[in-house]
Amino acid sequence: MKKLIIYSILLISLADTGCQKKILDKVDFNGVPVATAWGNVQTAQIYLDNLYQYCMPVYYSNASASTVPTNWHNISDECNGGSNIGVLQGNLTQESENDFFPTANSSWQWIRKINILLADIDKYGLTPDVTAPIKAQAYFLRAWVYFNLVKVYGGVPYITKVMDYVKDSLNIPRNSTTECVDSMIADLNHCSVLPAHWTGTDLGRITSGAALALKGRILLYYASPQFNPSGDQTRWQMALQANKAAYDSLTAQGYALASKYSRVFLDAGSSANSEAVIFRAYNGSSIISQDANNWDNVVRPYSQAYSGGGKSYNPTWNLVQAYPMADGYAPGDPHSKYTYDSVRFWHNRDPRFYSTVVYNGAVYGLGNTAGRIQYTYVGTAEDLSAPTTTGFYCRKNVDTSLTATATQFGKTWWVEMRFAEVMLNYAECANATGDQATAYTMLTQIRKRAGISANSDNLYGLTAGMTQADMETAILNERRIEFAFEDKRYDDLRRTRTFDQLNGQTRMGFFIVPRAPYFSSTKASDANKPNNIERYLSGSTGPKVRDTINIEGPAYQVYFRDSLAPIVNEKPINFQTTYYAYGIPSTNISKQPALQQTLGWMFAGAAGTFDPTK
Amino acid sequence: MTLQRLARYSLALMLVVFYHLTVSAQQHRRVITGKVINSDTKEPMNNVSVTEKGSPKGVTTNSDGEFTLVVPGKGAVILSFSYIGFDPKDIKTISDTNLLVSLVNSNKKMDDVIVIGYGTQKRSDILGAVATVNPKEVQDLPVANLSTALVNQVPGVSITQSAGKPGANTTMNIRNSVSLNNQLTTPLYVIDGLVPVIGSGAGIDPTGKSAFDALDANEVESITFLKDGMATIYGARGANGVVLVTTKHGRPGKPRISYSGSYSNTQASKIPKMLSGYDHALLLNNWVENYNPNNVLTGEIYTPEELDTIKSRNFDWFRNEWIPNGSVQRHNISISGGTEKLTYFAGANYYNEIGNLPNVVANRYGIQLGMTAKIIDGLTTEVSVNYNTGYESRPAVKGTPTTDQVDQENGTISSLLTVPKWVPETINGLPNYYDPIRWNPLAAVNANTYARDNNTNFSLVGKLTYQIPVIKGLSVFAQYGRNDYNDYGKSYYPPYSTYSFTQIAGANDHLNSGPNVGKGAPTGTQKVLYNYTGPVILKTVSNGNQLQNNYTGTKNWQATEGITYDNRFGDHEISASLISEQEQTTGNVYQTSDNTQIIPGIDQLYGFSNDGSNLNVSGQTVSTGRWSYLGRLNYSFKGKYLLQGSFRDDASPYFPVQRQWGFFPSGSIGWKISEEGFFQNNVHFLDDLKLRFNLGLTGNDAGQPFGWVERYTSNNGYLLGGVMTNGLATSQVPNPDITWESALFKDLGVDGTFANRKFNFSFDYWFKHGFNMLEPPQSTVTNTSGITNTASVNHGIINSWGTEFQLGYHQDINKDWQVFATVNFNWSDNKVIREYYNPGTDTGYLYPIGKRMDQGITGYKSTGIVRTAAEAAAWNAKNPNWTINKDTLRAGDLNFVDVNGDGKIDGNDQTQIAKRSSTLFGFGFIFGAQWKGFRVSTNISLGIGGQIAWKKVDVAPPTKDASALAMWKGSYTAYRTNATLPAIYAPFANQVSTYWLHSATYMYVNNLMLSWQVPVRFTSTHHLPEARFYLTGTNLWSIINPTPFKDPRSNEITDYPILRTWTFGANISL
Repeated sequence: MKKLIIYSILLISLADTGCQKKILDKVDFNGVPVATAWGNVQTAQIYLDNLYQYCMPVYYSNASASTVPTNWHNISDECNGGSNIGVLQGNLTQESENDFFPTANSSWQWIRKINILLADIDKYGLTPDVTAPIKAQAYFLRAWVYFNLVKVYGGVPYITKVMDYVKDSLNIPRNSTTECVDSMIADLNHCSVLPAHWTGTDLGRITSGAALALKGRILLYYASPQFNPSGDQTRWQMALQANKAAYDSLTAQGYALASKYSRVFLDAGSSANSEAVIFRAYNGSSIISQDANNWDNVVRPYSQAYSGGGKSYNPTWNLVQAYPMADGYAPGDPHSKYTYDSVRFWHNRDPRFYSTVVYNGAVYGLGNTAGRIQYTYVGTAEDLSAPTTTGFYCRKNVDTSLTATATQFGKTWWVEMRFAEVMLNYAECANATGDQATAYTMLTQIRKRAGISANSDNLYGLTAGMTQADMETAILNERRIEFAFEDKRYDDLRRTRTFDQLNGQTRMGFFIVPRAPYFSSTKASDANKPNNIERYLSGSTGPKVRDTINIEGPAYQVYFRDSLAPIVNEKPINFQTTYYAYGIPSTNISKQPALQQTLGWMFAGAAGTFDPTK
Repeated sequence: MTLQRLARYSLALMLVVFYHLTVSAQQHRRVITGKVINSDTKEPMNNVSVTEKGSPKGVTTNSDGEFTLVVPGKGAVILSFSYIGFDPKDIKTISDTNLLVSLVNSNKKMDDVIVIGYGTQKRSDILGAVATVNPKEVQDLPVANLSTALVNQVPGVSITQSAGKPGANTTMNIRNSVSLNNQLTTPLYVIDGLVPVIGSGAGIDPTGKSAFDALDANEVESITFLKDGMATIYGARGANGVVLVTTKHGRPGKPRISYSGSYSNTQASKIPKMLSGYDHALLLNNWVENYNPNNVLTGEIYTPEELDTIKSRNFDWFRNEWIPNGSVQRHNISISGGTEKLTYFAGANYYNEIGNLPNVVANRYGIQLGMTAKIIDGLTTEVSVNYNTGYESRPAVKGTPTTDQVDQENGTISSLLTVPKWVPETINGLPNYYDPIRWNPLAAVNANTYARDNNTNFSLVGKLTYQIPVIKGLSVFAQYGRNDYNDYGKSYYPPYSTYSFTQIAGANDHLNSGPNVGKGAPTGTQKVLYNYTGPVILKTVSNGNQLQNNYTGTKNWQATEGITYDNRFGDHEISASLISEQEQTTGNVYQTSDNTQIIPGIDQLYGFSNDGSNLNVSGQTVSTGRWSYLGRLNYSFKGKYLLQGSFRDDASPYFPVQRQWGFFPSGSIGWKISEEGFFQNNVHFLDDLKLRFNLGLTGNDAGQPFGWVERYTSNNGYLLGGVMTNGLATSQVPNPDITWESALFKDLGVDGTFANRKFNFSFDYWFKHGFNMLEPPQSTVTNTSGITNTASVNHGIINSWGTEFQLGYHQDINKDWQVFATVNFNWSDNKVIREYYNPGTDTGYLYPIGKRMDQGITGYKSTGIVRTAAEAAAWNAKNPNWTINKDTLRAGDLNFVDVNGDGKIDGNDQTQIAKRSSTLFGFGFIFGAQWKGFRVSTNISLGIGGQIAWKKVDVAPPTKDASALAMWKGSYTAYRTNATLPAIYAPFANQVSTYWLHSATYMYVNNLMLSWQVPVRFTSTHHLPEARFYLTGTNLWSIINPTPFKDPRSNEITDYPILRTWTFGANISL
């Protein structure tokens, strides 16, 4: 017995060395080891897919799902509201730009993750033929994320390696705008290995043409007055070449304007759509917030949305005025064959107007209800909780087939770059380099597709023989209309340094008000008053008095009057010229003193020194 | 000394010993017989060691307490009696037979033997800050967690409970342990030598706390706290201190069956008093009248007619739902006893708590088995088995239909308290949908929504010890322990129906709100009065519309092998041990959730949508291990000069291979001055006095496992070709150099007794140098680097220090009367030596270096209430751009100091308004007295100094949608300009400011215990079982309450109230 015990203990001591390794050699089951991640094409691919999810643009109404800085760049004269009213009112401080360097989910985090892919993908046995297309897509995403930073701030640190917080100095300076643009172009040049089209379960990836189109957009920005106030022609030449190359090669690949302007986004998922160059798919899933766009829910009238609709992205009178008549001439232009009706302003307008703006009495078949009339007058009963702020609703890209409760699960794709933009970018570069003929060609094609009549001169309402400056104005207005509610207006105003030309203007609404003695009331005590236009003709459901009013007939002005007025509480636009390149928040410079503050902005009492135009 | 001389001395010594032994053996012999009994119970005591003083020979008593000892010589002899846990006794006797010796239980006395981790030690020889709690002192308390019962029992150990919900967690913190990164500050719990590592959610709780909390005090033999470098013996896990528990194994004697049972009544110790509907409406009227002088919102006014209606209706949702009397039941039955060869203990316990909200229950039952057996001479085996299973259930509430709020208890309490009193909870029996809260508690309860948790823990420890016969004092042991833990959680969130009612049209339909009223005015629809007959609108509350099933299982084993040696060579006493320990833990977690109920009322997966997009499944495995070598050497010379050294070499797979091993040494010295002749001759007041000093290095490896690994985890993919792909993303930026936190302890202590041992005291001054403390470097990492979610860096250095003092008093006034008291004093402070901090805070009060971690209270400096419109106008005239939170100053506002001097009050005007956010130091008092069988004691906490700011949530003013504390009744109005509170519309009214600062001094009675032991004379003569009855109250009274509107122990008024319990119980033993 004694011996047994003594030997047992000896044995236990000896066994130590054998199983020690087993006990101490543990695997972290919380994640995949690095060699597995980059040793298989499947894992490398899904790593890339995760980058797509967070780097590709989303509906700007759902900007919190995005990592690129689009958060408050939805502000302009296009619609009411906007995430940072300080841009419009001239009281922005650099500290309120919390979307430049947020600590979590920032652009920089994704740049780092892209860099990890580029640095590691070739280290664990994958062959170059497999990795090249994956890397090309990652390069595109890096250029895309950087472009979004540069267009807001000018040059930023262009980081191409994976930095280590223990060993590396993280205090790195800004690269100049030129250096950033060069780096983005270098990144995009890797994309030539990508196919012209992806099919099947790859549909949605970046194509070679997409990279060319983005290159054209980047160089257009670089040549534009925002970064090129002196009008350096070499920049315009670069931009022209890039946009011509994009136009030519996309055309050769079969890209073209889609037949129906109103369906470009709605049909983006269909293979027949030839216009979507860079896009993001949505499927209305509730599982991942990024896969269901919230657009319908936000832009529809309150009573036709799941929650929160009514008061956002209401088109301004400023935008409505920008639409020409159906023959392409501005309202009131003597060349136009249509007479502008200041009461029924919706008569005979550019067909794109009807795809974009809902006015009082317009037919708006939401919820698949054909012939449904949309009211926007002040006091509309069903939308009382959140009425329109301008008298209009945005109709652009609204999927009328969705029921109100389904609007939070929109599945309309987002088209970031469509062929129409490639054309207008090309037109703008051609015009800037003295080739007005190409600009005319592009503009007339756009207008033709829009449904504007060709007119006798075949110019679709364009003035013949425009100067370079007139043509630039025409192109900008075309972009304003063509790309309305596509998150382009704010960028265009800054890119062309025309934002401050709006100073003194106010965003206006065109309000339709019941004309006394008629009124709109939902109070129980008013329910039976004859002049209440919300009164039911019989009982407590069914048609109301308002439904008997023919807006095209004389009764319209008996019941309603209109009132042109600024949006409630709206102040005149007062955009500061320093906003063409924003300042960097102080906390970021405190941590990273090598970051120079932008000219026109301050840090710790000292004026910024970084020139974004260099 | 040469080797030769040594050999010569040794030979001489042996000769002398041999001579002595042989000679004495030939002398006179006599036989002494007697009996040993327990002084308390008068029961015979088995296995008591009886020796003649100075002789190595001895015997032990039999199960009847009897002994027979053969001693040499004539005349008086001195016999020594000793038994673990009892005071040793020396008896000088000349008679030979029928000696009756009673031994006194030595709990809390100076010379019991206490568990110190991998061994035991006499209390008088302890060289560190080691404290014990006798579970008997706390076994009458009706607690859900054992930790809760230990309040005030040990100086330097703080126990906090912030909510009274059944099963609510209690946190224990030894010596104000701090962390820079939410690392665990929980001490390590060791139960019968095993750390029962268990799963908790997706990770592992490496501290064993849950298993400790599940123990029943009736089944615990001892609880020891290692507060300083003594914890070094637990190496990389000792930095937060160690709690050691031994369970009962029985004592020799006839079988003893004990039952203890109690029933408690639970009530909220304090329910926050909210405004009545009438007072609330009057305040809102005042707001409209005075705040909107242009009568923009006359429609907001509650007309006299409506005020009358409101006055007659005081719907109190809290009172509707709150059940005034909850209950706790505890039952414990055990049998124990044994012989010299075998002792055993078997106990079963049951705990049941019925909460004070509907469907809130917790229960637990368990079995504890312990056995010690001497198999053959020198070979002992000890076995402990514990099985327990617990259950908790409560209604689960996931707020509103649009935004599902986090499922939490205080969401419920908050809604119940703050719904305005004119809003009925039900109308004609139908649950009312009140828009601002968007749910209805009654309907939720009726919908059978719940969150439940079932857990089961099984642990087994077996130990074999063999005293090797050939070498005296040498023994070897091997111990194996394992712990299996399973947890099954289920939450059911079905949608349910509520009803929206049209309001009475009122005088002129004015109960609807108009546009936004102005500063601070809430938006939303206000419904005041309800039409009892009008049309109702069904409102379905989605309540999450989800079913969750979660499973966690952990298996953990630990093997310990060692060799120990204890011996005495004349004046030299040595005890040494060398031990090796291995441990491995594997845990599995599996979680599912399914959305969208299809079959109403079915809380099973098949009752929910089969559509895969509604189903979410996740799971993972965690695995860890540990390998350690440790050793300890104790040396004492003449029983008064003491030395101790120990080490532990610990390895953990959580760290990179080259950093897995850590070495943790400690050393202690002690001097029992009272054993010195000069002391005994000169100092008469003091009976015992010991000085000790301890230095030890410990670690904390509980945080951030595998922080050195570049880890890729599953993430969202992208929608490609209409198909959602998987995604993979890096989830942390690793730190290849990461390792455990370290702490170097120093502790200087004095222990002693005085006034004929009526008083005992213990004083410690400690210093803890925490270094290599893990913290995320995020504040120094630039954003452009894109580095987020960094693994922590071993960077921080924090020094902590403090003193603890315990004074105990115990006096037998006469044979019937005893009084006793314990006072604990506790003070500590700390200083940050190195820490990451945000750039931009390198000046001013937020700069952390060289300061204590507690940065005090940040808030606004208030200059008080602006009493009149004239005063406000004068101020505004003098300060033309003056705004408070963008509003101009008005009468009734709180005005503030413009700290940054920009002429207005906003978030940038916050500054440090108090240097500390807690009390400076604290006392714990336990007083008591015993008269014959009656015993009374009370436990009181006292914290002194410092300041606290009343919480923003607590002092939120009433709004149109929400009620507030009743104290707002006295707030500022045009008719009450001398009010103590600002107007309800005052901007920043409830922001943290000097206005809400109060002294943090508190004093409250934790418990009061009364008990009566039925006299043994009575029970034994009537052949009745021994019986003791008790009445215990917990969380009783606040004598000094810094937050008079709530119990000072609760965190916020929206937490489940702290409960006051009254318990009646009985202990019966056969």
